Amino acid sequence: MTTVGVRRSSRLGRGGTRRLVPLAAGVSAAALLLSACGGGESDSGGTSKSLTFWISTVPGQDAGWKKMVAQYEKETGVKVKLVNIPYEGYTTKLRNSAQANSLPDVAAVPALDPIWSNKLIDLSDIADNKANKINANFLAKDSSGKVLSIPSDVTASGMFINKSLFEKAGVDYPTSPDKTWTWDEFIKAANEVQEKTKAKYSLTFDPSPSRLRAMVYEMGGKYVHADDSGKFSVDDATKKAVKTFVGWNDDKTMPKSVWTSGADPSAMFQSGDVVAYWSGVWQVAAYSESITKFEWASVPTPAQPVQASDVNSGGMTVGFNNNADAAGAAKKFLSWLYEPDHYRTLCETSGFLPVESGLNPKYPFKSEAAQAAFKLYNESIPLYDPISGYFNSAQTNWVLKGKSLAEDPTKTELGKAINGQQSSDKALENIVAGYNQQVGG
Amino acid sequence: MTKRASAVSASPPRRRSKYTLAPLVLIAANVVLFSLFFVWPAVIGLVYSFTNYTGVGAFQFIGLDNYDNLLGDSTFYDALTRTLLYTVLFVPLNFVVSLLAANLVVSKHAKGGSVARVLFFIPWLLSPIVVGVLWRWMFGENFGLVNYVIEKFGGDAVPWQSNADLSLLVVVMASAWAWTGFTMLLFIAAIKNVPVSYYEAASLDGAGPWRQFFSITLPSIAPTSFIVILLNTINAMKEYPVFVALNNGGPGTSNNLLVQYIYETGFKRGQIGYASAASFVLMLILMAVAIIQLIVNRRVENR
Repeated sequence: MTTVGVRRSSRLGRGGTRRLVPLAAGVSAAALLLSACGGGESDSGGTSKSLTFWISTVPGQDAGWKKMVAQYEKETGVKVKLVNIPYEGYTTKLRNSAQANSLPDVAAVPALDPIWSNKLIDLSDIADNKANKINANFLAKDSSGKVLSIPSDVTASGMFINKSLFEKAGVDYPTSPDKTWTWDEFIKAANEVQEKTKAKYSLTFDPSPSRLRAMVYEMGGKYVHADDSGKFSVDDATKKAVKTFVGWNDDKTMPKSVWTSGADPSAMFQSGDVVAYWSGVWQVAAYSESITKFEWASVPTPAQPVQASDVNSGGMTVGFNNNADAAGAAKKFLSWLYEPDHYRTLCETSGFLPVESGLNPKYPFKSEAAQAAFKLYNESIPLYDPISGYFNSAQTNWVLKGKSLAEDPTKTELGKAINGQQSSDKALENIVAGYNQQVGG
Repeated sequence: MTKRASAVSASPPRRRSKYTLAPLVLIAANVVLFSLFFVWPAVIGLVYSFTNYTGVGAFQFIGLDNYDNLLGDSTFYDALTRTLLYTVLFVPLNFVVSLLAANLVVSKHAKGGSVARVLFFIPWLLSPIVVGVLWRWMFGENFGLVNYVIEKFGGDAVPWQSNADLSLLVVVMASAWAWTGFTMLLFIAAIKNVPVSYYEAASLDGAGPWRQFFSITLPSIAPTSFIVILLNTINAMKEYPVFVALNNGGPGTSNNLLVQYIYETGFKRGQIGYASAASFVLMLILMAVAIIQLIVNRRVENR
């Protein structure tokens, strides 16, 4: 309520009702009155000189947003009030604000919410602006074709290798996404390294549906996907890929304990005794500091034959239609933010993987491996097949229909398959049933 | 006169209120708390067990369908069987280890008894999650201490996590380790209450330490043993955090005990009604265990 008061009060200030400001902070009735005044002012046709922008990041990691907000204010004179809200209460606060008609003008959100999705501004102009080169695979549109959110950044699954072990074994690995390897070639190379260096395992694989999806996409499957009626199924390529994955859990290529008993694959890789680790870009920052006893590298995601990954939004920026004036100002700010030069600065300062192509951001990592990893991810993402963004868009569409996948049954069902409690086909049947039950139709 | 009479007649009720009001107030506080935090949720749980409630929105009454489905649910039976197996393994192991520890620390021949008592007691102070994590470091299949030592001596790594039976065994050992301190304290108190004269008379008759233990100590601490077995059985049937921390009910779902099954069904799959029915089945089993043990104990005491 106070936030709204501040935002609207400065607009009122221009109208000469500055004395209402202290009242607005304390008295809810006054706030209501002020809301009404704010609404009325939209007819003036002017552009709001202040904006409220909500984010939720760990303190200290909001550097990029702070920098952009300061730069915007300097360039345009529009005051942007940046509010960093703790993650635990963020969703609730947005819901409450929607119900109290006091949403911010712009927000970076983890996901859309049916409670307020009808208040969102259409961001098609920004998304479709060719100069921005926003990767359309990772945009979600509603049924009428409106773009309701644009990712602030993206995250992607990817492969890490123990470079020292590869070099010790004298085995080559690809370095450019233009000339990557297949999963078969990768496993063959990793097994060779494992045998020659007496490492414990060839690969550890995050126990995560997202990581499995990425691998299935690369092997030509669509994993669990819905037809036009919203009914889920799996294709033959998915069945084959999942069977292959279950087979790798033989306690030589991969340790069974990760997917069946909750052992930590990242710790295993960091021990230096595992040849490769299938995880994602979010590990890079930590590894740039934590891995010191061997050299590591990010390598291109395998393509068999599909060059893909599972790409998700790190966050989504949205604009709210509080009134025509505020909505116009919100859209102007977001248009400015996604201009390549500004957006590059945001990505560099916050360490984001950009959703825009061709930016070449320069990150402040000291570690060469980390710099190379980010370069590789940035080069790879534009090459990825559209399937890479399927799940990210599907999630948004479920939300717009008022549904959500609270529990992905993948990990439990495949854990049972690896443990020999059921076949991989039966596991997929159960996973499909879980999807149909939660988000089907 | 009238005044006196009224004073006399008024005094007995005042005295009654003095001795009934305070207990009533104190009991009422308990009754309110008990009703609010036990009876009311239990009633809600019982009501949910006859519905198809998913945790959000409205629900419909579906009679005994949940209970009917439970009877045909192999996953529920697997969880129940595993829970019983865990209980059958854990309770005797904990009983024997704790009794042994108690006898050792109270023995007049033992040196450093009080230090040992503290050392045995420390694990009981740890959170079950910490216990799970500690034992995971030791019995981690891939990078655990035990397998490291085995491999150093030329052996093959033991699949402590990916073999369902070994995985259960590790949890049994971890739980017994964690519970030894508390059970040991109960036994120490009981053993110290056994009159020394019994042992003196027995040794005069030529009874050795084993004979004394089986013929004097064990029968004398029977009531404590009964409480220990009852408490441990109930606790074992409700075990959850050690499994989650140690192997997450794995490998796969083979060590999902009843409480984990209820949690996963209710909160992860949103089948609150079905999970409530399973909870009530667990409660009935626990009540049956408690009643059977009470009856057995009463018979033993009356003999």
